[in-house]
Amino acid sequence: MKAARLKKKEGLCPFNPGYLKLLLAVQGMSLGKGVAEEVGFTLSTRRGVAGGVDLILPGDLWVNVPVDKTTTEKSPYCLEKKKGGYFLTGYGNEIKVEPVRQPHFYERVTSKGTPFYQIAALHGGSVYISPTNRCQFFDDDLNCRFCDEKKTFYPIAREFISVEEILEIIEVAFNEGVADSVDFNIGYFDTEDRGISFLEPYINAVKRNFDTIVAVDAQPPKSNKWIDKTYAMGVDKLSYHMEIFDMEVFDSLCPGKAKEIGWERYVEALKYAAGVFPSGAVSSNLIIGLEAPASTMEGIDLLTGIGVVPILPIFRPIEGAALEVTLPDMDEMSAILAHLYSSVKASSINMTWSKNISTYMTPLEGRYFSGDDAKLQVVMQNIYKTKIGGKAVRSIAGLRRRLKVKEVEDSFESSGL
Amino acid sequence: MNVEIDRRPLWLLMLVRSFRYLVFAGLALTTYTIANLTPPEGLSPAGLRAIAVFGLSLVLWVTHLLPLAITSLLVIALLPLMGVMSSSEAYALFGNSAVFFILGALILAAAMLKSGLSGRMALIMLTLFGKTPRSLLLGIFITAAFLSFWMPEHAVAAMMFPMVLDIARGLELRPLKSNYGKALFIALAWGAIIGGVATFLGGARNPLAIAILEETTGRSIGFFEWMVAIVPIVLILLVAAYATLSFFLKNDLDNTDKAIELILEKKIALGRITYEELMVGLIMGMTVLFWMFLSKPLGLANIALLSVVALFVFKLVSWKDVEEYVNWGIILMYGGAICLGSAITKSGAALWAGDLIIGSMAGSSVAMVGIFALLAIIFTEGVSNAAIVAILLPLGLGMSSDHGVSPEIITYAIAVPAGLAFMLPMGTPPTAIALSSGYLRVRDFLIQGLVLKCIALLVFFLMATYYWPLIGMNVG
Ligand code: SF4
Repeated sequence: MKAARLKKKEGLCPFNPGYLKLLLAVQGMSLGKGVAEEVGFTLSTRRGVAGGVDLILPGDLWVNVPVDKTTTEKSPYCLEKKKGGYFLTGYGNEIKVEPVRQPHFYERVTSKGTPFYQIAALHGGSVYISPTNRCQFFDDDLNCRFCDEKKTFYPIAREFISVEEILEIIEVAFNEGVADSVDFNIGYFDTEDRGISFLEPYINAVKRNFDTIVAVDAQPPKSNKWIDKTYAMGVDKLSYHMEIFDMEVFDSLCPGKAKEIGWERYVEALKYAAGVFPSGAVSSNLIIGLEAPASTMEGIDLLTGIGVVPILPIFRPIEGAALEVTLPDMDEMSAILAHLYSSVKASSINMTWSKNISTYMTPLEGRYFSGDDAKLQVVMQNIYKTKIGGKAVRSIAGLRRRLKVKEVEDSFESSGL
Repeated sequence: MNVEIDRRPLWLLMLVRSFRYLVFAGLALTTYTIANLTPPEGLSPAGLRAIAVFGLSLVLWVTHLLPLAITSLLVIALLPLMGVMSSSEAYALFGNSAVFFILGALILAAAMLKSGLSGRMALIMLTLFGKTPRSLLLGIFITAAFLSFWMPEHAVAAMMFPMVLDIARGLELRPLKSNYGKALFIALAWGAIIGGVATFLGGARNPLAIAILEETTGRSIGFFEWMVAIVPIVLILLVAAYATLSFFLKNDLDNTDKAIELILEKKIALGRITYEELMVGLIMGMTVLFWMFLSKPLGLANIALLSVVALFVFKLVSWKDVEEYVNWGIILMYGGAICLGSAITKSGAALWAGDLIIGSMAGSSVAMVGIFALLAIIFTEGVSNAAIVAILLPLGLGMSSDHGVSPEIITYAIAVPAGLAFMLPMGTPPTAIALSSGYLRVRDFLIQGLVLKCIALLVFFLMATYYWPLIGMNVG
């Protein structure tokens, strides 16, 4: 029954890359003969929710497709190499796609001997870095129930990675042309600032050495002054992930976030941050599948109402994470994504900051479900992807920071002498 | 370092930022235009350019678009560039002895602060006067004024500055916010300024005025004679200044309890007077005595610098301390002000402006005295007061016989108001020193300074009209 509906959808929209991204993210694909070797895919270097193969679909849409046996057993899709390139086959159709070859990046080790893949991952033009190897929620069994430490944070012998190693990794990623921006991820820190001071030397070093956009995924700090500091120190994009809008589900699936931070503080901090950062630069994840679709849509409206961009990852079970989930069906997911686009558009939030992320659905990708082709935003995003466009974005972001940030000091300067 | 995010819209921030650059561009254009006009009759092209630089620096000093010291550096660079004077002349003026006198006084103050002597003296003052906020303020006011009777007002302000700073810190007054904090430093500056006109010793302008009077007319004014004529004016001004201060800066300090608590704590912590404090006190005392009695043959700056050397000989202060405590901005600012004063005098701009204004208005003897006093009290805010005396007095003495005014009267009428720079830091170092505390801004001096200036002028005229005839001095 389900397969029939999917076939119908695909038949109706054979060239709709948005649907295809969704289908592939949920159903996975098998790999044709020799394809894994051709694209340089090895499971040992992949981890967590991004453990699949990245494909570029028509429309420059990136998707991370699960290729593990459990997911692909029932999948109708297969990636095959034929004359003229790579083709995705399924339901008797085939579409030309571009697999993202595993960059040599993943085979490198830092000068101190740490393999790159233990510290960093590449997604849609960003190098994601976790300078610390742990989230303190795991210490007290307060971790989010859909998160698995072993998959999310590699067991690295050292407590954190040095600034020099991080710079090495970024340099290689930029030189290889596989990334042009940096995203720092940290789990939970039991400090007032939630780890932003810990990140400061890394961020300063990156800003000093590279002309790039820096994003941070962290937890909301106890006071808003840390949000000001986060912006002042050079962070361009900020995410505090709520994950779940429904408070009850939030409390049960994210016990650490609920106990130590609180749902209300997420909303409060996100709202404050949206007033500090440029429009569209503050985002929060709402995971599709962990709560009822209506609740996700309510969450989308709450976030857009306070100027925050909702980003929607599709729940993907992580091996070892103790959580069984039934995903909404395709109609429901399509409705959520259409709502995502229209809600962000109605709130006049800039959608172009969100990059092509292979593991998430962004508001601009939601256009494929809404019937609006969002011409202006697509043109703008394409401009930003060019070298000159990217340079312009970074320059404007820098100018904005110079205008907005005031250093407060009680020195003799204020007397004019 | 704390940060604040400006929530105003970006377009407004851009406008505000670019407004600053537009103002700079406007100022540059105006200065350039004035400097390139055809000079009016009687004014040389160099004089016109000096007036253009004077106007520019006045705007920058008043608006704080640039730090005061940086404006002074701009002045020094602009004067040679615009052909007002040669580079060597301009930079040589920066080495004026007054600059080194101020430097020496500030290093001495640093030594007092570092050794803890100023802290101990502040404690004694607090114990004597610090019963209530009002009595403490009055104490600072009177001490500064009285000391300025006998030594240069610059030195008094520099010597008392660390004490007042310690008091302000001890009372935990918030810089730029506390009314009482502002009042303390204004009391210091005004006390020193008013006291500085009472005798020949209060400032370089007074001996300078007597020297010009003697050289031009062969007549003179005695030390005691001067005091008899001026001290009553000074006493009335002290009362008026204290009233003005109390009126504009309403007391926001409930009590000096915190200070008294601190005094006890500090007294215990300080223990007995140390060798360093004793030596610094001795050197400071000797310096004051030399300034009072031997400044003429030895020179104020020379005495100050020798005292500084003595501090280092006895290892009472290190160069690091000096770097930490001395506000070098004041040195730069004062150097620039002297340079500018000299430029407008030497280029003939001051004479031209004085002649233009006074020549057409000075119809009667009273009017002439009034106009000179008015000009002196106005210009002293922008130019060092000794320069005002040097500019106006020769002109006034030249005109005095024509208008039937005694040369002594015109000397008083210029030298005394020239010392009353209550508003701007360029006029006199006590104001600049008070500003360097960080507890107040230039604008904190402006309104109340203007009011006090008007009162001072009125008092001067009333005393000249009703009191001076009683002691045999007639204006008309
Ligand atoms: S905060 Fe939650 S999702 Fe994030 S690392 Fe910690 S446990 Fe995992």
